[in-house]
Amino acid sequence: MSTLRINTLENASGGDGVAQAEIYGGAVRTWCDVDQTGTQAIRDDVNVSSITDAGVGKTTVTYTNAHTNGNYAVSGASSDDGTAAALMGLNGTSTAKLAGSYVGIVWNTSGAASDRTVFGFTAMGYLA
Amino acid sequence: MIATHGQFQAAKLWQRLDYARQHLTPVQTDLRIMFEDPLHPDEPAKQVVPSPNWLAAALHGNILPSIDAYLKMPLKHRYERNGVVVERQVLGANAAMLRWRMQEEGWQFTREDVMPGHILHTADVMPPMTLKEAMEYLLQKDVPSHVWSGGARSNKKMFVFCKADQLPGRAFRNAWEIIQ
Repeated sequence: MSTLRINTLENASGGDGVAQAEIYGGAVRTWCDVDQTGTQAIRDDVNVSSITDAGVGKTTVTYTNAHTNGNYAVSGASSDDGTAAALMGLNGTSTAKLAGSYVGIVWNTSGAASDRTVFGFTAMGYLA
Repeated sequence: MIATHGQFQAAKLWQRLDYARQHLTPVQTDLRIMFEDPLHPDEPAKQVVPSPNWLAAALHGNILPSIDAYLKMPLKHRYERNGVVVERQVLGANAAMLRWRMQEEGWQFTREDVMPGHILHTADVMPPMTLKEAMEYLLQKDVPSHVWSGGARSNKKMFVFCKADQLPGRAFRNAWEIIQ
């Protein structure tokens, strides 16, 4: 296995340097593309062992390699499926995320949970 | 290039996953795990769907750590109630039960940390698994242990392996339960 060990990347003129740690910290560690409709399926993913369909619009994404803690950044988007536009967020009243999984839920603009053909999810942060 | 068992064992989990992602063909399956959570009886039955990339890694072998790496993962939880903060250390297998107990007592879960000493990268890598073995591994990894270990003391069937075409349509999704 080949490993390139560096501290900083710079352009050919020696400028625009960026620390390796900055690249590592900003990389997307975990993502998945899920179809919440029908029997549910993961189209593709990185670092995901499974999804758990927990009800209408509600999907838990579980990681193979957990993050170091619950303080990582998450973003997501879902399809509108030709009906009301959808919003995605962290399910439940807790302010905390788990290191090893994330419970996402999709709502339509009326505030009702809703299954979508595209549930896209990314998590950025350090892995354990 | 990782090729031998020793090289897989020496690589970190995320490096092995990266290898799997680049070299293995994803495996879709229609197998599912259905479970009900006895700590949350009002919630509908839940359906676990394996990742095709994860399943390819499980069937290939030498990628995933032994299940103990997850069940014995040392975690630190922080809870808050009326301005008072407490921290609790717990193993991965018991984390969901601890969160439930603390929340029953009015504590709000505010943070989880993976503690030093976890063995995600150093645990023995799993040999190639059959599809059935992979699903049993996934049950222990991604379903709370109080569901499959009998720790919640229930005579009700709490989980079942099934095929996707055995599941009903989604019209009444939030009313799903496991037939006894």
